[in-house]
Amino acid sequence: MRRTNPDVEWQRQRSFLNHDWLKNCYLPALDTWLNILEGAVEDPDFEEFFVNNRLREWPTHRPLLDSLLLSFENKMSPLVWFDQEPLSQLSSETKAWLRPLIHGLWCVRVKARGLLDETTSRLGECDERYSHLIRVIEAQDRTDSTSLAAYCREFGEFGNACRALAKTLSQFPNRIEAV
Amino acid sequence: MNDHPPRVLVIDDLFGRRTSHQRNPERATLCGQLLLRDITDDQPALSRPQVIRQPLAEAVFFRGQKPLTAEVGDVIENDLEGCLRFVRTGWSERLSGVPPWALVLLDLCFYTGRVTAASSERFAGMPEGRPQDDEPDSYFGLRILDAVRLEMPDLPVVILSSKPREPIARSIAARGALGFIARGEGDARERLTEYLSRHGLISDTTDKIVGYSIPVLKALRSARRAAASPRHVLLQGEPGVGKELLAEYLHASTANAGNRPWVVVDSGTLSPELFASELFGHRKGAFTNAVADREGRVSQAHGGDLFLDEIGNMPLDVQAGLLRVFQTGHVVPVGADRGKDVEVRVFSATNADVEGKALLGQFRSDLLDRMRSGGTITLPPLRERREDIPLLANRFLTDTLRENKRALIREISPEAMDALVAHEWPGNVRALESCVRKAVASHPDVEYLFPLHFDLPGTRLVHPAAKTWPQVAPLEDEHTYDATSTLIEELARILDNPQMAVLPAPVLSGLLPKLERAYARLTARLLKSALHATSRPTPSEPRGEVLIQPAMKLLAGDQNLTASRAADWIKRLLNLAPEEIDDLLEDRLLQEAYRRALKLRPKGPRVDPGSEQ
Repeated sequence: MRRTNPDVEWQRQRSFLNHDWLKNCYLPALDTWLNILEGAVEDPDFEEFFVNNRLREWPTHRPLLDSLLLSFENKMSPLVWFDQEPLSQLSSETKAWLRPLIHGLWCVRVKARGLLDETTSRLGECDERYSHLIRVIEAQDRTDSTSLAAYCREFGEFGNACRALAKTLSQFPNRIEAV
Repeated sequence: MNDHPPRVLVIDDLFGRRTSHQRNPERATLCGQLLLRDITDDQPALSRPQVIRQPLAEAVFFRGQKPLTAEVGDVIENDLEGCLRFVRTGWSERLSGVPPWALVLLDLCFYTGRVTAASSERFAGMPEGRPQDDEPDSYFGLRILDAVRLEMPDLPVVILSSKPREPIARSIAARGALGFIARGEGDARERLTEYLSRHGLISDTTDKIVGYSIPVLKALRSARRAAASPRHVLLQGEPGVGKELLAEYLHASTANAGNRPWVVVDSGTLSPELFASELFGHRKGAFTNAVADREGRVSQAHGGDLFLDEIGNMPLDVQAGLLRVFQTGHVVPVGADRGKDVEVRVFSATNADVEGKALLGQFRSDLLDRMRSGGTITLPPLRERREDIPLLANRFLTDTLRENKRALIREISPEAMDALVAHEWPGNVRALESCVRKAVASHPDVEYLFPLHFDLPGTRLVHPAAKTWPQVAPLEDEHTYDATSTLIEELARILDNPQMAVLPAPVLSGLLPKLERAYARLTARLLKSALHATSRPTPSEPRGEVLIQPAMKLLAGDQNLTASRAADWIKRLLNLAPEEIDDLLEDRLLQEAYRRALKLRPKGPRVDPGSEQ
């Protein structure tokens, strides 16, 4: 597994999803596919692989993205330091008021809620575009030029939605920020 | 027309890695995304290869790490020295006549460590990574960037990464990277197109300005940049360097060039009296010979480009008139009361020291400032771009032969080429062209042009017939160089002849074709042995798949030999005796090797790939 920071599992997971998969594989493949549709590229091996495998990776990776968002606050908040020395030595009373305070300050500082909301919204757009795209693929005849233009447009819009998602995922903090 | 796309080097761990017995799928996707034609030739040939119809560039991929091909259990380490060695093969150590890297696309984050089953499952041959690999401050790409900029400051480098740009933007700019292409962005291809045009060292695709030397490619790059602006450009350079050709390139590189007027004024040929009339036009009766109204060159160039050659000769009163055109955008013909508005971009050329003239008051400094408002481009003299001389000489030879279809097919001998390259050429490219044309015209019956056929100072022109040669007996078996004798015997017979050193030129010339044919067949046989030794049986080709790079590495004894250079060598070796090539290509191994070499290098090189610069 390639990793961003081995101490932080969340970073590894994000790196895998955003860097390795989305930016290095999925988005370039969508662009290449569009170039193939436009006649600029001919690559029979890629075509087979893309249609049967790569494109269909969205639904399989979608739950992993959900899980990444769900674990963000737990894994990236400075609350994790309360389980380690020296903060773990604090009294229960102190932890009781300090933990929520630290977490609240961190949420404000990294704009956690805004990031999560925006990413959730981007994911929804990707889902919608993907579903629409699959319907178009199943319904249309690519040999017809009008259909081909619509087909290209759907791919382009799905690609744009994925790009917006990738950009949002890049905005999450790279390390646990102190407050 | 030179339709050879520029050649870029991509240094990237993911795309540069080799995978055993299969193609690198991520590389193929990148090539399809950015429209790059992969010419690395480090992967098994595909029965259905990727085709890029109009590639933006040809790409050579390099991992930047060792080992280049890794399996589970291997440990991957970054290899800065290996990187620099590889970059040099397309820069300071490239073959003569081969263009340099137009651009380097450099990744930032290179993953190191052990290749595990898990890491290899995701990307075959990729390691699991170490923590510092992904720290922006310690990106290996930055170390490569620093080292390349230090050793090869003229080599343009653009970052190609899927990492966020913001944390590293200032750092890469300060280190000299010229741009950033984000792999996940939708405009990656447009960015590459822009960077290639703006920063790339790209030869003239119209083939008017011949040459792959860095000074020429830099001048062409400056011209492309200047062409994007409506401002005036000053072109400087010694006589004969090709300033007018560069002006034409500037014009042709301008958007919508086909619809823009292109007007040339050779100021050097105009008398002072005619200068103003030629530039601004005149009205009937304005002077003795003005029998009719005449439109001037400035007006003719309205909406386009005006090329003023030899501006150092321009009379001061004409300078004043031209300055008014620059200032007001209005031209008034000689003898007229009113003129008309014009929108003209002016390319001025000179070999004179116009700045010195301006200091002496012989040239208006305010006009000079206007003339170079869009920049000054200096074309190098030929002596500063000697590596282009073989290309230029062969080009002029070809042109000359094309013009005279009944002429013998000629070839410039290596000795003559050495002499041409060593010459100082005070008259620059124009003088070289004249010299080649003169050599062809003066020696209509000479097939191979040797130094004595060129009129170069220091080269004695002696006609062979004028010299009394020692009488020598013909070789005993002069007519028996056939397939029945062994190649080694043939070569030895010719080369060991003690009389070779004193043979007269005509006799030597007669021996050359035989020697060449024997040498060509011997070389082909060696090549075939190397191809056989390095071929690998595959399901689709049980007799052994032909691999040209390993074969040429074996033959040349050079483990660093690139695929492109291997292809160049194959072409060169099989073309040693063009009349033999059909026979040689009857052989399956040689035929396949030649096919692959042509596929990889359909055009270049134009000269011997073995001659290092």
